[in-house]
This record gives sequence, C-alpha cells and structure tokens, in this order.
Amino acid sequence: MFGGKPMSTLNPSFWDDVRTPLSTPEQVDLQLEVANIGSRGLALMIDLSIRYGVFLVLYLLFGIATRFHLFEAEMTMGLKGFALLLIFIVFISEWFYFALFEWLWNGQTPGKRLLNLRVIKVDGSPVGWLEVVLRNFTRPIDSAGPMALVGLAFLFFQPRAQRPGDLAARTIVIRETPIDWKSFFPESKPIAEGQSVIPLLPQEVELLQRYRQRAGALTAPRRAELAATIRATLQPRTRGTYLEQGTLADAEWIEALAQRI
Amino acid sequence: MTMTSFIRKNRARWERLEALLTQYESKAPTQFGRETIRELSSLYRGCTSDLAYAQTYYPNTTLLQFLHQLAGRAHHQIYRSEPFSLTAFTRFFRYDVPEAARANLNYLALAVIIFLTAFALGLTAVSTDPGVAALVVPQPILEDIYAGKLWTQSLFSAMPASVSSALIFTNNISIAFLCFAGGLTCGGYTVLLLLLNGFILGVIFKLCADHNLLWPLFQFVTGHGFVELSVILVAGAAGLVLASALLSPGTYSRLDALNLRGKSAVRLALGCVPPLVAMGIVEGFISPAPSIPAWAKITLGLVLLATYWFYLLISGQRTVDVSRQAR
Repeated sequence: MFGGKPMSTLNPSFWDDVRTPLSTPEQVDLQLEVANIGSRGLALMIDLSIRYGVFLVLYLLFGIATRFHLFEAEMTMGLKGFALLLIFIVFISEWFYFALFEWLWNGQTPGKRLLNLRVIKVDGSPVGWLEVVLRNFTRPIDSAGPMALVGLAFLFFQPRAQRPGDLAARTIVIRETPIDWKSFFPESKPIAEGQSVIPLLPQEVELLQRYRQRAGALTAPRRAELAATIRATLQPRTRGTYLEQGTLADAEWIEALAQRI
Repeated sequence: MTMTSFIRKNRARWERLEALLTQYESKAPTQFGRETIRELSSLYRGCTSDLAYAQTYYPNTTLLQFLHQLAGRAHHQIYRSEPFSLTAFTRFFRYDVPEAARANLNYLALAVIIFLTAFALGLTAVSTDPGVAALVVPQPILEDIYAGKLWTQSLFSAMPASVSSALIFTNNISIAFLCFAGGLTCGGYTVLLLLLNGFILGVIFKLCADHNLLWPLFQFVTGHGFVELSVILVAGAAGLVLASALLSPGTYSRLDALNLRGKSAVRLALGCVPPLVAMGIVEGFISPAPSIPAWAKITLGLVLLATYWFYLLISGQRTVDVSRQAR
C-alpha cells in the first residue's frame, strides 16, 4: 500500500511500507511495519491450503472406508469414530483454526509465521484470547468466500490495513523482518592495537552495512560492480592509511575498511 | 559518539537480549528464574534508551531499524497478556457469560420479539397459502409430513445417534456464531437468520398441526428444543449487541463502542457452545428414542430450560472481592 507517508529509503520490502508508531511506557516511539494486502493475502492462502489439504485427505480416506462397508446395515465402530473425527475436525478448523493458532502462537498462524506476520493489539501488546476470537469469528463477513471483497476493500483503504474484525478487536497485523546479526557490523571487539580509526559519517557506514547485507545474494559480476562503486566513493576518506593504496581487490578492501571504522 | 563506536559499545547487550527473547518466545514466563526476568527487563530498558539515542543521531540507518525490531519484540514479551489458566476458564463461564447476558437483556428481548414475529408470520403464511411451505422447507421433509409421519424417523434411522448429535451441535454452533458475526453487517444478517429460523419453525408447526402431527412433534422437540431455541436467541442477542455499537454508539466513537460491546458479544457467543453441545447430545440420543416415555422427555426439557435460564439470569453474581481479582 502506498498511502500517506513517503517510502522510506531503508525499507527492505517494496510493498509493505506503511509504518505505525507505537508509544511505549518508556517514552520511545517504536516503528512497526504494517503488513499489507500482498503478504496477508498470501498468508491467508497458505492457511486455507493447509486446512483444505487436511480435509481432502480425510475425505478421501473416509470415502475409501465407506466404499468397503457400503453394503453393511450398521456402521462399524471404527467407521463411526472416523465419521465423528471428520465432523469435529471440519468444525474446529472452520471456526477455531485461526483463533487457536493466533492465541497459542502469540498472534501467528502457520501462514503468518512463514511470512513473518504477527497480530498484535493496537497498543503494541500481544493479543489475548478475547481479541483473537473477536477478530476471527467475524471472518465469515469479511474474509470468507465472496465476502473477502469487503476485507480487501478495508485492506486497501484503511490506513493501518485493518479489516472489520481487526477494527472490532483493536488489532493490527505487522510484519517483522528477522534481524540479520551476521552481516551487521562492527563486531563488539575494539579495533586492533596500533591501528587508527577511520572516521566515517553515519550515511557512509550505512552504505557499507547495506552492501554487506546484500552481498551474499548478488551474482559475482554484480557484486564486483557494486564493490567498485562503493570503493570509489569511500576511497577519499582513507587518506593517510594503508588503504589508500590500491593493493587489495575491491571486496577485500571493503572488508578491511569495515574492520577499521 | 560515532555510530560505529556506539555499536561496538552496545552490541553485546543487544545480542544477549535477542538470545533471551528467543528463549522467552518459546516458553512460558513461569519457567524462568527471577534473575533472568530481571535481566530481560533491564536489557529492554537499555535497548529503548539506545533506540531513543539512535533516533536522534542516526536516523535512516539499518541500526535504527534493528533496534526498533528488537525493542518491539521485547515489548511483546514484557507486556504479555494473561496466559490460559483453569481459573480464568471457569471464571469465564461462571461469571463473565451470565454477566454479559444480564447486561444485555434489552437486546435479548429484541431477539425474542424478532423471532416470535417471524414465527407468527410463518403460522399465518401457511394458513393463507400452503404453497409457502415449499419455499422454505426441504422437499423430503414436506413429503413425510404430507404422508402423515414425522420426518425425524427417517432422518435419525439413517445414521448412528453419536454421528447425528455431532452433526446437529456443530451445525447449531455454526448458526450461533454466524448470528454473532452478522452483527458487523449492522445486524442485517443476524436479523435475517432469526427471521428465517422463526419463520421455518412457524411453518412447520402449522403444517404438523394440519396433519395431526402436533403431539409427535412436541414429543420430539420438547427434550432439547426449549434450550436450543433459547441459546440461538442469546446468539442473536450477541449479534444485535455488536450491531448496536455501529448503529447507536452513544457517547463513544463507533470504533470504541465496537471494541467495548464486541467483548461483551464474544462472551455471549462463546457461552453458547456448552449448552449447544449438550442439546446436540440430547437431540441425537434421547429425543428420537421411542423407548423413552413422553413425560420423561417433557420433564427433562423443562428442567434443562429452567437450569439454563437460572444460569443466565441468577447465577454467577460476583461479590466485590471477586471482581477485584478478575482484573
């Protein structure tokens, strides 16, 4: 969704760019990323596939079981138990799949977990059973079958992408990007003895940071190209150190610089 | 302080916080010692102050983004909601459900009026034109009634009692929940469901009366029917409560009213589950059984009815102390 705020330069994802501020008792505004139509729709599809996949398997098994008992007047105990199981599973998954998962998994269902989504209360605290039931029991009128169009409209036009059930329960769905500590630098150890610190501006550190985060996912030629550009930009800052001379390859030069800032 | 020395100085604490959070997210807080809990809260406070510093001096950086996420995760763990407990569960059915019912008696009355109106409409509609029945009652049931026998005999001989009672109560609970959810359509769907159910009941009663089936029908429904109807009316009231927040929020904003009355409505809706399960069992096992005499079924039905309404209207009055504990 592209409502309201300008797209942040930092944003790792293209479509989830709405952030919602949340004031904590510690007087700090947390910025959380509101999940939007794309990820929520996908999560819903995953959850529905899981539910209907289970139905399909059970239904086929039941069909096979009845096929061989078709001409017996009385249902056998096993078949009776199976029929009961089928009825309960269909019923529970119909009404309680979302509610149970979101309650037990702290605001996540399998689909939401795969896409790093989480339901939280508007005030930032985790959802309790009351919110979870309220937002999921209203699904028949805002996200099941043709009524999904209603939910869709809300996801588009509501600034925090809340569907009617979310509004009633005062919940929002946020997207949590997992923190990648490995590529994050510098390490907590101090700079090696005898080496001076190369002072960089926060934007320049950020440039290195983002390069390191992306480097693993790039193809070799593209990585070399980026490294060369970054080196050209930062070379002037290394005046007076051994990094000023061009003995190292671009990628290694960047790593060496990262150890010195 | 330069950004890099800020990171070098504090990074170890952030990583420790993240490690603790990973543990916390998978276990209940009671499984942790006092020391770890203290450590978590002090690390969290440290993290928020680092976040505030970074917001001022290092805007638009990955560092700031990481700190936001870390503080957000810690916030989730520290400001947790009440975990499930047996006390909370019994408190819900013992106090919260009847309290919600007593607080919304006017909506319950409205649901009753809507239902009775539709019932009367059904009666008169069939009296004026018997063809109406074909519109709302399934064909096989109609044929049974015209043939002078109750459709329940053929229906219940087709499957075992356990399966039919499971089908009955899952179906009834679905209707109750739909009545509740329909509240968000400004009550339109809820009212429609109540009208339709009342109308069909009226039609069937009139048809059975015309074909000398009133006594067998009464014998069949008396065991479970009174409570089942009451519960559906309570579910209808739940939907109407939700609708009232949208239609007449009073001094609240619509959203605030929706949240406030929604909680009350959820209590009513969930309170419908146990009685409907019980009635499904009665309807599957006792009501169709020819061996049980009519007077026993009638007594059972009346006792259940009295119990249910005693539960809703009289039981579970909190003393002051209990309500203090409750929140």
